[in-house]
Amino acid sequence: MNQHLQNIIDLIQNSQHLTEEEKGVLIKSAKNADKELEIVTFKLQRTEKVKHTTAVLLDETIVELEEKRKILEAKNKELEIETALEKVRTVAMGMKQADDMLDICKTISHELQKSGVQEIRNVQTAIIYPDKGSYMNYEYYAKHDKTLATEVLYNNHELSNAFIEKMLQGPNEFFFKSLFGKEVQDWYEFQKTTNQFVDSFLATATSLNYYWFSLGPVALGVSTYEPLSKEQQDLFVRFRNVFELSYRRYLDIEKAIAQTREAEIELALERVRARTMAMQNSEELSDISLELFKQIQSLGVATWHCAFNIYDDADDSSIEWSTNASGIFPKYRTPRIGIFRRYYEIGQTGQSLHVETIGEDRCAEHYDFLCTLPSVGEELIKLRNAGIAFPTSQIDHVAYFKFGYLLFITYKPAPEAHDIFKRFAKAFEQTYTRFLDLQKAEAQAREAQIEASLERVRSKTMAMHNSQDVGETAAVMVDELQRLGIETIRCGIGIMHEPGDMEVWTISTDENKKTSIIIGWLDMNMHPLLFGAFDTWRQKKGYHSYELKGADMLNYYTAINNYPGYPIRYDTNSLPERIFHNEFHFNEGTLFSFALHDLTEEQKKIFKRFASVFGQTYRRYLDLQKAEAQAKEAQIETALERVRSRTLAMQKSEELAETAAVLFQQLIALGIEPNRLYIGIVNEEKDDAEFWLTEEDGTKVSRAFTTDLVTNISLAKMYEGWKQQQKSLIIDMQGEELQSYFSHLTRLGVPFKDGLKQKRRIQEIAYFSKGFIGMASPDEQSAETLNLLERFAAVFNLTFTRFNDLKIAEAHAHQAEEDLIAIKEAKQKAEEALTELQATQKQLIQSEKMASLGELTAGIAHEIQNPLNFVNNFSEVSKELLDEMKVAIEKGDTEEAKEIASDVIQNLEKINHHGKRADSIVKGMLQHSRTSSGQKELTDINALTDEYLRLAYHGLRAKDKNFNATLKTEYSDAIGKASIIPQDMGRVILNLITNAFYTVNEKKKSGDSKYEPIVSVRTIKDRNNILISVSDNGNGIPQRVLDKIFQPFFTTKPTGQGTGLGLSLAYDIVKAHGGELKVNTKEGEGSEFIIQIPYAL
Amino acid sequence: MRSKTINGSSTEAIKSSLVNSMADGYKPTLAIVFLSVKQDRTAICQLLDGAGIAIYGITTNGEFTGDGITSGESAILLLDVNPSYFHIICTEYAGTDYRLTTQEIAKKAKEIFNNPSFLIGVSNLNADAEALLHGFEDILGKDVNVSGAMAGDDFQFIASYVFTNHISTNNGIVTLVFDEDHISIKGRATFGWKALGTVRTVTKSEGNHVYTIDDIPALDLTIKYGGLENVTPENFALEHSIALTFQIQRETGDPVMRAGLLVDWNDHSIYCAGPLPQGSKIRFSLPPEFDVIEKVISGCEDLKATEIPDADAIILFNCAGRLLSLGPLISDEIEGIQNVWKVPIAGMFSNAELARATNGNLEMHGFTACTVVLKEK
Repeated sequence: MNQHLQNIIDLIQNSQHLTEEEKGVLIKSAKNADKELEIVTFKLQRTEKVKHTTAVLLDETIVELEEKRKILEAKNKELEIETALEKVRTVAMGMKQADDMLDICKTISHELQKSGVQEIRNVQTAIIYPDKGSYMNYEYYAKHDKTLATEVLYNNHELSNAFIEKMLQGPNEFFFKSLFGKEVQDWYEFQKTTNQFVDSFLATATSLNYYWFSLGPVALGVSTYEPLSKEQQDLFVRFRNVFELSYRRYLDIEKAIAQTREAEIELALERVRARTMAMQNSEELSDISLELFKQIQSLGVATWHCAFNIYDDADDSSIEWSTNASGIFPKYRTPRIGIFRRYYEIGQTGQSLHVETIGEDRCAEHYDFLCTLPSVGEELIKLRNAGIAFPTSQIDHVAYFKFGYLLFITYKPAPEAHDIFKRFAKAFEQTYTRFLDLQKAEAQAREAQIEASLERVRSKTMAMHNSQDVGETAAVMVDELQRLGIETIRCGIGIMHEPGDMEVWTISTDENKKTSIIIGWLDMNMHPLLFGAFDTWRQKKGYHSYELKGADMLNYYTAINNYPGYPIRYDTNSLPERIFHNEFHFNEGTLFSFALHDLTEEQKKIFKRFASVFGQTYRRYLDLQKAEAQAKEAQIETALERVRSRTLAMQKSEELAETAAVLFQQLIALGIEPNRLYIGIVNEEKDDAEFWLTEEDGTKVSRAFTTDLVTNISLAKMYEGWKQQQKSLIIDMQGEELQSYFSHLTRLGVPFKDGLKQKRRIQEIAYFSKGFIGMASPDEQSAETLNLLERFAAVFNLTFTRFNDLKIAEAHAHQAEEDLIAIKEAKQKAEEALTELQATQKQLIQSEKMASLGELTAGIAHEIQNPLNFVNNFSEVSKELLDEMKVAIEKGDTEEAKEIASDVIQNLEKINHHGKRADSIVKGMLQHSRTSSGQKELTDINALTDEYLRLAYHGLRAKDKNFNATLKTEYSDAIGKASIIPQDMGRVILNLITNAFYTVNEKKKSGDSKYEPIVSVRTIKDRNNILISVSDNGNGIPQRVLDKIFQPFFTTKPTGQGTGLGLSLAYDIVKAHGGELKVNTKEGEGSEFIIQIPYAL
Repeated sequence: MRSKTINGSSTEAIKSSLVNSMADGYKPTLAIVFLSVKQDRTAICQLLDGAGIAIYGITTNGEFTGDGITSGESAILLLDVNPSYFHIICTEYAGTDYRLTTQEIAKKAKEIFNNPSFLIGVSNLNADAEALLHGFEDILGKDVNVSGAMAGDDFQFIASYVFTNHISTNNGIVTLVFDEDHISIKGRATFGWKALGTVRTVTKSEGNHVYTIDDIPALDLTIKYGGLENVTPENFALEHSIALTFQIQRETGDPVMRAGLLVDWNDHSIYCAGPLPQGSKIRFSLPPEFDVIEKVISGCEDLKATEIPDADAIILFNCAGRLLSLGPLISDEIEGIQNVWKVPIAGMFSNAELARATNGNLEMHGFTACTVVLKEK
């Protein structure tokens, strides 16, 4: 509460004068006053704050409004600039040519001024030509209100140089230069020395400022008397940008116009090109010159005359086709003189366009010259007479191409058309080249056509076999000539024969194109036409022509009609007025034609080629005929060879018939067509002959018979010919003779097909030494056939000789057969003897085996003796013991009895042991004597060796009590077992040991008391082998017998003591085991035999 | 329906006032309780519950009845309304799905009454109050009758509460549902703040956290316009920011007020009472002229004349900002409103008001005087 009011309330409350009611009222009033005061204070405070805030916010709002105003102002300014730019844009868009840039400069200048840029000197655009060192300056001087287009050189001042250099660096480059004071004046003075407008304001200017902007193709600049502010420069840049867009558009339009023009030119070129493409021959160049004229006119080039001038170097001139407004000129020749020579020579320098101005001073003279020329002159004079005036002056445009030039004559200079002229020349050159190519291609096609025709003729000719074929070939030739478009009345081939004949094949074609061949002979002296033909042929002149007409023609055909050798007959009443005759000779004859019109040069060439082809192939035909004759001869030789070889292959005389059959077959194969073929073998002693003959169709030899050669007359003729040793004979049997012949042979069983109906039978006989070959036929045969028969007869002569030789050989063979039987018997005996020998040998081997068994027997007996002794002794002792045992039992001494019983048992065991031992010895012996089973068994080599050593030793000892020898054994435990046939190998070991014992014993017997016989047996393990060595210190084996010791039946022992088979068998056995039996010996010192058995058996 | 108001600075005082009010046989069935977080809510709820009174309770930034404005005390409007005419739902939010929360409430209310209307109290300043309003609209249509306020905590901005007899939550909503077939409930929201200065743009914000305006820290602008000098966390008072409230400019309808409540001194950003999306166009606004109170009262007179001539009670949700801005004038406003209908009035100073604006949309407002008038039919 307000303090003052509180004080008042306090005073009221403490007042003595006021009633409580009054106090209450007053205090309430005071309180209300306080509340009101509070509210007022609050309101004041808040108002103060709001005021502040409002002020701040208002300030801000004002600032914002100010900003908005500025933006609006800027927008307005921008709008003004845009309007100015739009004006520039409008002017620039309307630009159609470079000069229009003056308007643009003026507009930019005005708009810049409106936008507040003062002191503008000029606005300018520059198109720069670096190659010329200049630029085209389009400028507007604001203060002078003057537009200028000036070509300005820029290399003569560093300022302009620097400016251009900068502009040429590319688009968007900026060049700025300010000149002040004296610099301005210097520049001003310099300007006066150039061709540029001299700005008089520069005289008083203190500053000159250039601002240039590059746009790529062009530069835009402004110059001012006072420097531009940054803002003003920016503004100018915007003008520049607008200008650039519009300028580019202008360039685009310019380009489009150029493209349109280009399209028009191309279209014009295309029309000329298309017309030229369609050209079939050079004559059409007239039409094309018209087209050229039209197209050049269509391109707006005002020409008076257009021409094609095609060089003809062969004639040192040209041919010209031309057109002008009056029409097409007929083709004419321009001599290479005067202006034509000059144009030609300029063209030869490689220039593509020559422009010749023919001024008034010499134009009339020029036309006078032209009027003197043939053809073109006439045409020109016609024009002049028709009132068409020649130009009084003209410009010749000579556009060159490979084959000549195009000539365009205009009244006025047409530099803009120069390029077009060149292009027409080029386009024409392309299509004209193509036309020439086409001509060449057509010529090639024609050539190919002719070649094809020639080829057909050639192949037909090649196929010629006889003279009939010559006619057919001629017919083909006529066909081909027609195909090539050559029309004749008739054509043909003539083969010349000295002294003056011609064999003719004529092909004539009637109205229906039907061809017929006439073959005949002509006397070449009948008519001058024929005589001329023959004469030129003889003189190898190659060609002859003749024109028939009038009486001469009649004479000719009359002569032909009357000549018997030539079957054609002409109707002399309907002969044409003229007939052209041409002959094309070849070596043997001529190809001729008769036609109503003379042949063209091309046709003649074709005929000539046909004649040449026919000539070549005709020669080939002749060669062929020769070759065929040779082939026929070869065929005959082959046939003869077959007969000859069949003859040589004859083994027995019975084969003669077969040989005859071969002969007949060969004759038939050679084309002989007989009724029957036969062979007759003459037996002079009996006056008869043995015949082999074929069936009536000559196919096979069907029968043989013998008949006398006396009874039948025909046969008698045959016999007579033989007797007279003729080469051949022909018997023409007819009538009675024939009947007689038929009946004679029919009796002999020879059938004749339609026999008795035959009225004639020709027998052709060819003789050989012992007979003849005959051929029966109904007709006469050619000399060639008889000749063939003779040649076959000659060969058959050989056959028959061989037949006789064979008979002799057969006799010899019979003898040889008997000899063979005798030899066979001898052989049988020898074989029997051999068998016997082999049996003896077997027996011998067995006896050897038995002999060795014998050697063993003593040893075996000794071996058995020992166990037998034991058996006997122990059985005796046992008997005694059993007796004692009996006593003891009787005594009742069981103990004693038991003891004895055990002794007995022991004895019995021993008996049993020795019994078994004896058993095994006996088995071993049996085994030894038994024939080897041939079965290999794994055998303990050491045991086997030792067993046989002992058997051998004891065997020898048993025979000879005095024998003694030191036995040394050395068995290698490493050798183990080997797969061998034990009986066989045991026999080997036994043999070697026995031999060793024998030899040491012999040496001992020889009386050296110091000699101690030693026999050593060793087994050794080699790498892959078991070695069993048996050595002795005996006398050794003498070198002279060493080679023989393994031979059967060789022995050094006295007769009866050895079979001589022991070592031989041993050797075989070891070999059969895949091993080796070797011997080392030294005379006087001993021998060592080594059995080498491989493990891998 | 008779209504009475009671108030007091303690439970005992409330108890004695309640006893006094019932001495004449008056038997209230519903208490609309506005109290400070400083009060013993539990004891007061037990007291009322013991008297068989249903509670719609909300904490305040100051509370008032026709007897005057208090701070840190309680103000209660008692009504002897037929219990079948109303229903109270107090529930926590379904996570952050505020819309779903009120959709559920609306569905339930619809089950109870054919024609429900709502008086809501919302706790937690971060709750999306507009989503809560839309939840009602989703179920009951755009014309649903909802009004209410966001609870306060005596300007501490720490934790505010809503409650009923046995539930109290600082993250939930209390809803008093009336059967509008028997109880008329009409509201009117009025504010008078005026925008000033140029339109500005919120250049950075997240929800109700405004960092910069035209790239200037929000607080700096407030200081500038408030004419404040040497500002420190200590000497900066809430009324400073309240004095310069943001108005979100909208193409149609009244602008929406967003008052700054808290300052983040690290970056001079401001937390507002309600979201302020980034990119929003705003203007600063000044407190209304002093005659705004007359406008509010005349608005109520208009309401009385056009919609509800008689009333049984008046509830006033008055923005706390108004208290700060209008100072001693605010009691004139309360008195003036009460005098329109001459029936008991009770209310609170809230953090935000939830009501239908002049042109009809249900929205969250600031600086609004939201009058709700009840009348049994």
